[in-house]
Amino acid sequence: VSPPDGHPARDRAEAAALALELSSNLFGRALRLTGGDWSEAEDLNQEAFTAALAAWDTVGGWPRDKQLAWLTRVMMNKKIDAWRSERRGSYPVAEVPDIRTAPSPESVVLNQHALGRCDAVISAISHERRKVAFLRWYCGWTTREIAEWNGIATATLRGHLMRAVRQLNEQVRPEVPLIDDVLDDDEEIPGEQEEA
Amino acid sequence: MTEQNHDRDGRQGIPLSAIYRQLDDQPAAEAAGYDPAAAVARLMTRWDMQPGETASSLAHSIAAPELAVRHELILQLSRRRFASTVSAYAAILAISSIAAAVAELIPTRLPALALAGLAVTAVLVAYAVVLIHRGTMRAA
Repeated sequence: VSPPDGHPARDRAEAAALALELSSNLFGRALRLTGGDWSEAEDLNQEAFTAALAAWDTVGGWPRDKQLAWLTRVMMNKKIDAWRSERRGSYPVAEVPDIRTAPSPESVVLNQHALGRCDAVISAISHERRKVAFLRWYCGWTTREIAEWNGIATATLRGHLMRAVRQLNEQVRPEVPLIDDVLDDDEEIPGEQEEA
Repeated sequence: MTEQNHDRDGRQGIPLSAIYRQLDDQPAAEAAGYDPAAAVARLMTRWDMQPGETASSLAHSIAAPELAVRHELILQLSRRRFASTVSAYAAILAISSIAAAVAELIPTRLPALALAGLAVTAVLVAYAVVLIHRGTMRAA
């Protein structure tokens, strides 16, 4: 994003105030996206706020939680673009869906300790596995979408995801196992299938 | 995406998508030492914001409009105080000069004229003080 020339001083000041308020939170998210790469996370953070300033007429009037979700999505798209540019060739890319920034009421809550261990394990898994895990469980992509985007076979991708789930369960050891809950296009929830 | 707690094989458990969303609100351990003020300073440099513009605009933005209004009131108050004080000093100087000139013209009556001049000056000073006080109260 190029420096936003010609923006009124008030817009820039308000965008700077937004950055002062949200940049810590957003930086934490950026660090998870980059697997702990501090300078890349800073770049993503700066790019997101600069994009916000460029779109301030729209973004400026939103409530803070919506602004945070928007900034997160901008960072996520930029990271996905960066992953794409790491590879040769191009692959069809599904639209990144809207993401929720707060856990839903139905979400099962892990205690802080277990959640911290999940964070540590996710940060420590290999680059390729962390990438597909992020696209799967954060962005909600199907296995076919990730496989096509990444240029790998669906079976290989499923292997990556299965090993990531196993690694998390082995190292976090939650009382209830962690599961891959994202459904693919051709799948249905087993319980619902039986009920139907 | 529908929230559910079964995987494709029917196993029950904690959805990983929920874990990822919950992690969003967790402070990242590696982020300790992150300085948001420094990050904002870098952004401002990138956006070509001037230091003066930064300070006043940020203050305006964060606490607007109350802070800006209070700031303007303080400025007005200072201006009024300055104007009132200068007026009072000018009036005292003028009266004293007139009294001194008159006293020089009539040397034999000097003590009486000097006393009269002092009395007039005291009254004017008191009046100036009252004016200043009223101006201050109105501005506040």
